[in-house]
Amino acid sequence: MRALRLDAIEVIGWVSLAVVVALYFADRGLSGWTTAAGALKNAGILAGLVATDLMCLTLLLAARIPFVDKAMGHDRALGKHGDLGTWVLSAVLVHGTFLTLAYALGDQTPVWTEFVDLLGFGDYALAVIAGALLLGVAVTSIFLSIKKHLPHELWWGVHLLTYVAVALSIPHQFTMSDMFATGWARAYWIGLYCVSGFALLAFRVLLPLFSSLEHRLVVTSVRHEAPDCVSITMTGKNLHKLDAKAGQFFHWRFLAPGLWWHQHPFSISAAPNGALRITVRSLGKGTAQLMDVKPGTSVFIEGPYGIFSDAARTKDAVVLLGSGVGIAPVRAVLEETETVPGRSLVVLRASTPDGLYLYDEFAMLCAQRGVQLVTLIGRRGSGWTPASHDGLRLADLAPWVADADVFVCGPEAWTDAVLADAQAAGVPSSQIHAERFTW
Amino acid sequence: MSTRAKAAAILASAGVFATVWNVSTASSQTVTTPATTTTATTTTTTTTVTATPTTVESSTATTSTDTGSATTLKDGTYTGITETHRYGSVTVTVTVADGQITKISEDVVSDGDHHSDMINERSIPAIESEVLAANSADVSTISGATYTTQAFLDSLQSALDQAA
Repeated sequence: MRALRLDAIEVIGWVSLAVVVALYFADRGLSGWTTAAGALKNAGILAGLVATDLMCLTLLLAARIPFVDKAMGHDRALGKHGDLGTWVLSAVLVHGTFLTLAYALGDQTPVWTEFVDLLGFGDYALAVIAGALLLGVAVTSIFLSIKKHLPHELWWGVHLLTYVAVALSIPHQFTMSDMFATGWARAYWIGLYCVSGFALLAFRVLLPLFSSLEHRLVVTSVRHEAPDCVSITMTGKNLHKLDAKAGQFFHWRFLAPGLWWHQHPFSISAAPNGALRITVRSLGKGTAQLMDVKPGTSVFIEGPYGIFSDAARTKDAVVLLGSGVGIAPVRAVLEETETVPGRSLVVLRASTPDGLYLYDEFAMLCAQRGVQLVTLIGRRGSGWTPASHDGLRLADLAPWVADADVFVCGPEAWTDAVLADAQAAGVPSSQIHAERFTW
Repeated sequence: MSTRAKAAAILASAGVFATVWNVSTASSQTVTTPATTTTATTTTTTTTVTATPTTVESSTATTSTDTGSATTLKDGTYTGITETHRYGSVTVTVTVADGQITKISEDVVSDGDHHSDMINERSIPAIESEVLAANSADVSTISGATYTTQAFLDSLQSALDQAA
């Protein structure tokens, strides 16, 4: 089912590209490519059409459409969102430069003069501003070296300028070209924008808002697992209607002074039976503040998102591996998923024993259900295991791993190493379930 | 992408192309094409936008060649693609009889600026007579009306390509 959904999404993406190319040929046909100016103009127009189409796909991937989330998980959708974003930028740059060059060649004027002349045409100026804004968004998002140094809220503010860029770019598409003046092309283009805008509004803004107002989550207890780690339990109305599965995550916004203006993604760390619990480690300024959350605080949520849950199970055997922030969703999935003694394994990885928070709960659950529990503590080695266990492989711990579902959640590099080991051990990709928490 | 998805994407894209092509060629059949041999003239100058996107060659035509003066033009009436420029757009329809351009008409859309209207009024007749004299699009643009006349010539050339 998941594979079918994924296929559907990829087909829709490629067909949308085919549509814009078809629109180009329907409007301009095959002519114009024989002169330099004509070829530049045609290529520039094509690039612009492709840019808008890819931009809409990018927006749809970030819109948190349930169909998309169920197909690939929100984390992967955001990854593709970022990949497409770089293509959007390239297409926009090609579009702008090629068309300006084409006009300059056609008018036999220097490019700069042509550019300044064109700026007099209002909608062109708006489009140039849009391009500049998009460049700013891209530079702060694509280059991780820059993104790392920005406070998250500042990066987010810049990123939202994309909406402004899209809005400013719309007028010139309708006034500087005849392509969308009338007919099917016009209907399609307007429809494309409407669908994207509607999806964003519905699934990113309205649905979470209504959900938060309906369920009215409130913090009921805060328990310190370790000096730098708390479990926050929340209850609300009709939580069963959220249909959350253990292992899924929400975006949480605690409505308290200093906390209300930022939200964080956390997986629930226990099965959602009448209450939602998250386990948070203090890793930065934002999470440090969460250590002091008081019972009675209201919480706004967005979610549930993610496919890291029992719903992804395909086999009767299971291996769960968690490290760092990934321990929480692993703990949740363990509680809700079926396990067979002798064919179920939990592996917890930490640099120091302090990093094994929720260990007591793991030990109890595993003892009750006959699940093998392995803890690997120590400095990093060459792979995903500690240096003291260099060379230890998944297949050593679970010889039956190729017939098992493998759930992995943890820091990026560690997760990659585990997945590499799993693939080497012959685990098919349909049985591998990983969740990544990169921004 | 799985094999199934690749196949579905290719088939669907081909379907999209075929549909869009059919819809656009069907809607331009109201304009006479080389297949019919009438010399009836079609569009007259109006100030409204062309209703349907005009398409290009029929399946027998080749890709655009250079200036039309070297090749003999086939009789018929042809409409070129709409060329948009900074101040509006031009769509040229040309009638060929006995290998000669006998009639030119155009659909000119102005951006509404009075200055643009003046330029159109002055330059279009001038470029028309140049084209008729040269029997091709191989003429120079009218100074002071570069955008308009260049768009005119581009549109004319795409019409003449259909006649090649």
